[in-house]
Amino acid sequence: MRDQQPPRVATWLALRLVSGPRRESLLGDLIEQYRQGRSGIWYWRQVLAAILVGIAHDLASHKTLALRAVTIGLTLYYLFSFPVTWAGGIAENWVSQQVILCEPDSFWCQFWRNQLSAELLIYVAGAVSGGIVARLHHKHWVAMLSLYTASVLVFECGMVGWIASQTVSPIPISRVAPIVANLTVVVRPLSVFVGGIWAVRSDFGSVHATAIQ
Amino acid sequence: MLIVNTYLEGAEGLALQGPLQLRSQRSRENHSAKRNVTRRVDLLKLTGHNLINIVRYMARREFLGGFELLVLLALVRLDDEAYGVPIAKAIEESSGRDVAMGSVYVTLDRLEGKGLVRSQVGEPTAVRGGRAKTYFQITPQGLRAVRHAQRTLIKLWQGAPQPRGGSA
Repeated sequence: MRDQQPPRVATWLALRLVSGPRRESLLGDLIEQYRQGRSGIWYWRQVLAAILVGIAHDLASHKTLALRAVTIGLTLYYLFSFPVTWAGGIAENWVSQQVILCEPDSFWCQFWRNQLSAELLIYVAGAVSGGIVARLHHKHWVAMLSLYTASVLVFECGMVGWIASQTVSPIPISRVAPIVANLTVVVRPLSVFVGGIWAVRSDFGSVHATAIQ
Repeated sequence: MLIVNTYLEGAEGLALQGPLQLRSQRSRENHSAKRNVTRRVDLLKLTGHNLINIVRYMARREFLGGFELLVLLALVRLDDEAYGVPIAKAIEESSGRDVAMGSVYVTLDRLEGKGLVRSQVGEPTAVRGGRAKTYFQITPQGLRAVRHAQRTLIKLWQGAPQPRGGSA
């Protein structure tokens, strides 16, 4: 039997994202088997499977809550778009006035000036909405937050696809567009999820107390 | 009020509980029209409660799933030493497939909810990173469910022709 620590990141994820009352026992079983000679890949696979199985089980058992989580989340996401658009315009103007030495052909300068300020605000709004959803569904927050994040991902994919389909060929597509599209599709849902984890971080105090010895 | 507490655990005649009490109440309260209106409203409540309980009762009586049966059989084999690791190993050895511990625990939770399994938390040990084992034991109801599944499978198997084709 080896006296080695299992992969730390996987354990960190398991402690936070595996749902259910038997999380500690399950993690103990995984550590026991790892120390009996199972591989790190096996450990990772088991942790990811436990997270996914827990999410699927919670969603299947609490369909109404799941519907509520998506409805609340997407409503907040939509409502937050108004102040974000307003503040994004102000931020864009401010940056345009401050960044005066922008070369016309400077791609990154244009990117920072035109897109990033507004995009950062959207991430903050997404994180706040994720936090509210996680807080409102405290008992099953992992499953509900995951579902809301997935719905944002689907929504943003749809929006990017729709915008791409609306772009007629004579209009030159900016070089910024693909980057913004990727950020939109990947980082916006990610910000929602991170915001949710951040909102329930106080619950992890008990997790730290039982950290691996 | 005719609202009947129909949340009775494991009662065979669950669906009958409401209507029987309703009939006795009906013989006593047959006078005022106002009361009749109240009763009609209560009857609706009663029917609603009964429907919910019938669905719950049927859900409890549903057949064991394939993985549920494997987990219960592992518990029967392991007796007092049944916790996550040996349960998973027993299933892996029998089926020849890798088992996700998360699936084992979700299934055990579900079986415990159905009253087929009971659990007990053991002492934490250093080899498990200071985490306690949860021991599981099959209940008499669980044993009955396993026997019923066994009888059903044997009957179906006996009536079926020898399967042909496929591999292994």
